[in-house]
This record gives sequence, C-alpha cells and structure tokens, in this order.
Amino acid sequence: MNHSVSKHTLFTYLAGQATPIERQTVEEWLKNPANTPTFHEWLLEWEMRSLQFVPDQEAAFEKMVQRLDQTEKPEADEEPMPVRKPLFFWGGWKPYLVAATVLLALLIPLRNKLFYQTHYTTYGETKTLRLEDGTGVVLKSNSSLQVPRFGFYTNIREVLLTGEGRFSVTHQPDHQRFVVKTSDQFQIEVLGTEFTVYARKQSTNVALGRGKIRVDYSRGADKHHLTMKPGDLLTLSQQGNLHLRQLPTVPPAEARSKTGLTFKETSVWEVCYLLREKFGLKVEIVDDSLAQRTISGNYHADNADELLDVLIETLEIKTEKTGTGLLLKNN
Amino acid sequence: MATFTLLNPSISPENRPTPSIAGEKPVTTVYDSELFLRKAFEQEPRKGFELLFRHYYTPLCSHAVRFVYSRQLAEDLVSEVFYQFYRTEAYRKVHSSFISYLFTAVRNEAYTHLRREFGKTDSIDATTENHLTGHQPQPDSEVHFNNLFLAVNDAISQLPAQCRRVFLLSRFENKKYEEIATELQISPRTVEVHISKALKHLRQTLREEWAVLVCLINLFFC
Repeated sequence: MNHSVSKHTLFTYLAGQATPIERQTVEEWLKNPANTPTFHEWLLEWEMRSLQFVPDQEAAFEKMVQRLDQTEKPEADEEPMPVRKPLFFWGGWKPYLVAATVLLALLIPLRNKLFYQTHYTTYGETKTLRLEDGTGVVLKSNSSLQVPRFGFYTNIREVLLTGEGRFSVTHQPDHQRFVVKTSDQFQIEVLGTEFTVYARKQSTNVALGRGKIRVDYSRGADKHHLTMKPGDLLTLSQQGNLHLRQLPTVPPAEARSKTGLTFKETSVWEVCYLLREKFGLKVEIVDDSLAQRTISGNYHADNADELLDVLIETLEIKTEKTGTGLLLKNN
Repeated sequence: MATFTLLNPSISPENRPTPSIAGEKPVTTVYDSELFLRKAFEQEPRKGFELLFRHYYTPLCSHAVRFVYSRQLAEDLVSEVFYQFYRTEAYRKVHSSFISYLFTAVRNEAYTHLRREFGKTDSIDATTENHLTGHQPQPDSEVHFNNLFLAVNDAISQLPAQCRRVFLLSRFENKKYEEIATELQISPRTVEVHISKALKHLRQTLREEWAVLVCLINLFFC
C-alpha cells in the first residue's frame, strides 16, 4: 500500500490551506482505515510543530496522580476501543466502586484470619514451632507470630512477630529469603541462620547467633539497612534510635574463673540471652520493664547458677520455676 | 519526582521515513517509537502511564483546543481520556498505537462536547446519541473531525477583530467578563454583546457541519 498523500500535503490540509484537489486526495486517503495510524502519527508531529498553547503538564499530572490514588485499583473488562460517550460518565461505574469499597471494608477484619495463621503464647508460656519450610521458631512468653497460610513458597518467606522469638532458619536450595517483620519500619532478612528477635513496645532487640542477617528499617521517610555479624546486638529504642554493638563476650568454660564477665550497661534481656545461648539455662523474663533494666560491672561466674545468683542479688528480683525452665520476675 | 531523558519520537524528522517509503509499513514506525512505552507498561503500568502522559499530554491538549477553543476544557477533556485509559486498563487491549488510540478518543470527546454545546438546535441529535454510543468510529469520521475543527477555526477567524479578541479572552483564557472589560477598556455590557455574537456565529457555521455529520452517521448506522 502506497501513500498517495505526502506528509507535507497533510500538514497543508490540516492548516486549512490545501487546494480543493489536495483536499480531495487527502480525504480519500483518510477514508481508508489502514491509513489511520499514519494519519495520527503525522497529526502528532503537526501538533508538536504548531502547539496552540502549552498546558501546565506537571500540574495536570499531579492532579491525575491524586485522582488515580483515590480510585486505585483499576477496573478491567471495559471496551478497549474509545467510544463516543458523554464527557463525564461518573454515574456508570461509581455504584460499583462504592459496592467494592464496602465489600473490601467488610473483608478487612477477616483477611488476616484467612491468609495468616497466628501462633500465640500466653504469659510465661513458650512454644516451639516448626514452619512449613523447616524453620524452627521458639516463641517466647506473651508473643505472637503471624505466618502466611499460602505464599510461603513465593520468593520470600515473611512472618510477622510481636514479642520475642528465636529463629533457626533453614537455608533453602533456591536461596529463598526469610523475612521477620516486627513493624512497617523494621524487618530482618536472612537466608539461613540463627537469631533472636525481641520486639516489644519499649524496644526491639536483635541478637545474631550465627550466619549473617540484614536489617531493614526506616526512619521517617528514609530507608536504611545494615548487616549484622554473629555476636552483634542491635537495639532499636522506642524513640527510634538504633544502636549496634557486640554482645558481652563469654569466655570458654575453662577460662571463666580467671576472666569473669564484663557487663557495661547490659540489659537484663541480654544477660538472659547469654544465659540461654552460652550456658544452656532456660530462663525467660516476663516483665518488659525488667528486660530493660541494665547492669554494669565485672562478675565472676563459673556456671549458669552463679551468674543467675549475681543477677538476682544485684537486681533484687525473684525467680520462679516452671515446667520448662525459670522465669525472672520483679520482686 | 523521577525525570527521564527520552527521545521524543515525534520531533525527529530524520528518523521518520518519507511518505513514499513509509508506505510499505506505516504501522511499524508507530510501534517502534512507542516500544519503550509498551515495555514500561509491561513492567509497571503506573510508570508506563506517567511516561505516556508526559509524552502526549501537551500535543493532545493542543489538538483538543482546536475544537473546543478553551484551555480549561481542552485540558479537562484530555485528562479524562488519560484517566479512562488507565482506569479501564486500555493499555492492555490497544491493538493500534497508543497515540492513535488517544487521538481517536480525544477527537471523539471533543466532538461530543461541541455537539452538546453548539448542536442543541438539531432535533435529530437526541436520536443520534443512541446510535453513537458503543460504536467504533466509522471510516469517514477522521475526515469529519478534521472538517469540524477547520470549520471552528474558520468561524472564529471570520469574527471582527475586537469581537474575536473578546471571545478568545473569555473562552480560551477563561477570563471573567469584568477582567476583559478592564483589560480592553470597554464596558462589561459590550463584552457580553461580543461574546453572544461570537457564539451565535459559531453556532450558525457549525450547523452545516452538524447536518453533514448527522446525515452520514445516520446513513452509516441505520
């Protein structure tokens, strides 16, 4: 198919300056639908060359974005070809939008139940869970863990934690990432490793046993991330201050009597973490305020019981025996 | 806000084959220049939409204003077309080029608007409305859309100078009667007279256009 019309002739015609012969030729050419795409392409070029006015494109775009955000989810299945409709046909789809919004609002409370399974522990209770992928979670007292019912086989495994949990993540052959979220602003991402997360109102602590983890957090609108090494302790205070340091070093059993343990504003939570991880003593804190208290100084402790005694004396707290271990409580 | 440096495919004449050569595959060139838009839509519709908007909003407004002769109306009309384009996910279904789709939509909307504003005197209009909705544009429509905006252009050119100036200030610039009166140092009453004269003239000139359009459309659909 050849074009009987040149771009130049079309431009003359569009400007209203074509001779009757040219005009007739162009009109014949336009009547062939196969020429429409070319016509529109040239029409665009012509408009670009002779703009009637320059609209404030940025302002218009801002307005458009606002409008789109208000009615986010686009509705599909409409006629793809432009048809002659009145300029504003709100009435046509607005009822559906309202219906959809109402339905959505009704479904939101149910959504979490449908898509997530939530494990809870009560005060003083500890649960050992094994997730579908083999990851082991020890859910500590008064905590909850939300695990997706479906979608654990997508590219990330994501769980939501409130309270405290010790994770031992299995490395998947396809390097599927495992993400522990504690809030919208804070998440820990791993491939395979062992770590403990403490996410309560007062603070969020992350202690890494082995492997490597990545922590993503946002401060205001800024997004940050950092990588933790084994033995690191990350603390996020309620005020949003982030603090990364090494956990107090626990010397090997044979050297303990000589060197002792040095604490420097070490939180009770940390000491308990060390008792569990290094001394194998099952000890839990039930009071959040107690977990925040700190101790300082150099202590000699050959074994777990001696360290525990030091803790009880220094802080004037009491212990309570449970089926699985010990509970630390404020006096 | 991210900024993009993109070659505007519409303003590099050397990339564009001359008509005689273009005759072989006219559609391919459109597709080529819009390839990046299609890719963007595939990856992230919102991003694709942003690019599409930034690319075509201005020329489409310029085209729409040739019909409606009002900045505000032209922008509203083009925005509405873009909005519907995104909302109905038309970008998934368009088989022609995006610009072809958008031009068709804008020209349709401009036509509809003009006919509502100036075509009410036609008694047949009420019935043709039903024929129009839901149909694809007929082969003649491009010619008639062109005739329509050329007729509007002629009609406004024919107005006496002062009348035209008042009309453009009011309609195109969307200025208030009082503002125009102050600016041109005439009374508000005179402004009113000029504008009603201009509108009357426009209505008369367009009446012939409507007659042709309406006949053709009836022929086509009946």
